[in-house]
Amino acid sequence: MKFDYEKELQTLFPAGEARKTAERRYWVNVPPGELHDAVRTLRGKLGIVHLSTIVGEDLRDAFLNSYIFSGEVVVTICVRIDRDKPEVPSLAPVVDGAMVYEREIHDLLGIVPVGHPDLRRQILPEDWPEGVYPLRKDYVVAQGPTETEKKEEA
Amino acid sequence: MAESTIKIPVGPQHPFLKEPCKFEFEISGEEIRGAKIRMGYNHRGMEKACEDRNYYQCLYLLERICGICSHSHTTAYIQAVESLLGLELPKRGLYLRTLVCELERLHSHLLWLGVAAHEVGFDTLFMYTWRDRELVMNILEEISGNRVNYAINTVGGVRRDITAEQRKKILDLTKVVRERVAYYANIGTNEPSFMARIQGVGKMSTERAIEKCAVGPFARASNVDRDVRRDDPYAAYGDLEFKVITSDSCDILGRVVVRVLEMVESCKMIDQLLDKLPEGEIAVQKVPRRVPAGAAVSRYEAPRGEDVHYVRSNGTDKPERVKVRAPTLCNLEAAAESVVGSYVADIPIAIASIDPCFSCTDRTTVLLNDRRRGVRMATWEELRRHGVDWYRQNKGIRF
Repeated sequence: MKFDYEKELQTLFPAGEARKTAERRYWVNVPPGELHDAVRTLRGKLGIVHLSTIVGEDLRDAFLNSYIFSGEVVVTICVRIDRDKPEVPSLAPVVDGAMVYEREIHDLLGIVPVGHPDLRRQILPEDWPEGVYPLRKDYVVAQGPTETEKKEEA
Repeated sequence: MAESTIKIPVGPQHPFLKEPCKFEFEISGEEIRGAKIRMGYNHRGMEKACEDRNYYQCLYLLERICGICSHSHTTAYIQAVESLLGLELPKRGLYLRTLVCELERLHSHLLWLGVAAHEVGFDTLFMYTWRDRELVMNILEEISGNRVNYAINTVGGVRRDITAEQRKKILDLTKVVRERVAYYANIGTNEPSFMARIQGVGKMSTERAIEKCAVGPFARASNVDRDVRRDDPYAAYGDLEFKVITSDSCDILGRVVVRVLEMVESCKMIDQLLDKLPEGEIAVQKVPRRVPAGAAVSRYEAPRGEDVHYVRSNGTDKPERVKVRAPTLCNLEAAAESVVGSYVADIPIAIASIDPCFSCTDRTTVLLNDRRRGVRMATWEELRRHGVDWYRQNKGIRF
């Protein structure tokens, strides 16, 4: 008999609204404070050890960090983060590979992974202004003149 | 007395690879004690740009992330979109998509083998593998129309079918590649000067590879048995028989062996694909423009490892968020760790052993004095005279 991940996730995370969206794709919600425990449970009890990536996104009313873990199936742990106080416990002390993804999210969205051992810039240039986060929805990409417009002006 | 170390910056311009990335090595004498990486010199804001484009425009934008594994990124992205749309793809389309996947892997691994050989100063092997890579590139051009950005994927299938003649050409190709790969397997594991440079260099233990979340041939060479094609079958991989190659040597030799043997597996898969190729449509005929709200995660085994795309839709014809995680990102930190303890001269091959992506988009076709096809090279003076004569005769213009 095949192992029922959906049921197992529902028992492990009673408040997590565990759900299945497609073949081998499972999602579960976790509050920021319980992230470390959730990851330990996932790796220890279900044997899903590989952190594929962390996706940070701006939902306009909050931020959402999705921790995509893969093994036999893909389980995504979704953590909602307050937009006024964008902080989340860093996963780097638990999973070494999380370091690069957290740096990237910190650069682009300004979500602070609390307890990250080495939070330097990874993607944005050194002279990028502090406190400007390009992947937030309220950041508007400046539209310069197009190549044709430049030619017409000249 | 405390040991004194020196920090040397390498890069960001051409740090032994044709790709911008800055490394900072801490060395003591000839030995490396620490390594730090600074990325981001190639950041083009594609994820943000995707939010302003519709799903089809994104497809062509994402194709241009990388010049080598362009098909990987489009397939990974498109699988996420198709899963959100709930599309059932025709079998023939899936098979053709998989065919291009494996051809891409062949050319990418041949390219890598050449680069690895070049990094240790074995340029003869570099020339050989790149010559063979041309054969694969020609086939890719023939079936897709392009050498680099194949643009064969579309939402709901593929854009081009293959003919019986092309099928035969591909089968001939796999025969040649198999022969060549046997030759490279022999050189790669027996040639003493090559072995001396790669054996026992760039060690990465299984535990560290798992902890660093390494992927692809790099992880498999450290005996991490992980392959998306088997673990999370997509496209036509569920119908194919193949082995996942691993090696327990945990060094660069292992990475060479894994990639060389993977080419044999790719040839097997291509043969099976063409053998079983079902008849029928190659794409879904009518695809809705608007994608229902939701989020999807798609994984793909690119030549360099697991490629992850995440798409969140909001019910319109534009995605809310597209996240791309290319395999090099997770391997780069691990590679920097693997050089600690080895010598400065081993840095290029150790970093190159993860096969970091760099573009190979340039190419020209030159036909010099090919009389058979009536092509002849002309000097500037001849061209000018030809132009003057042509206009005088045909247009009556006198210069």
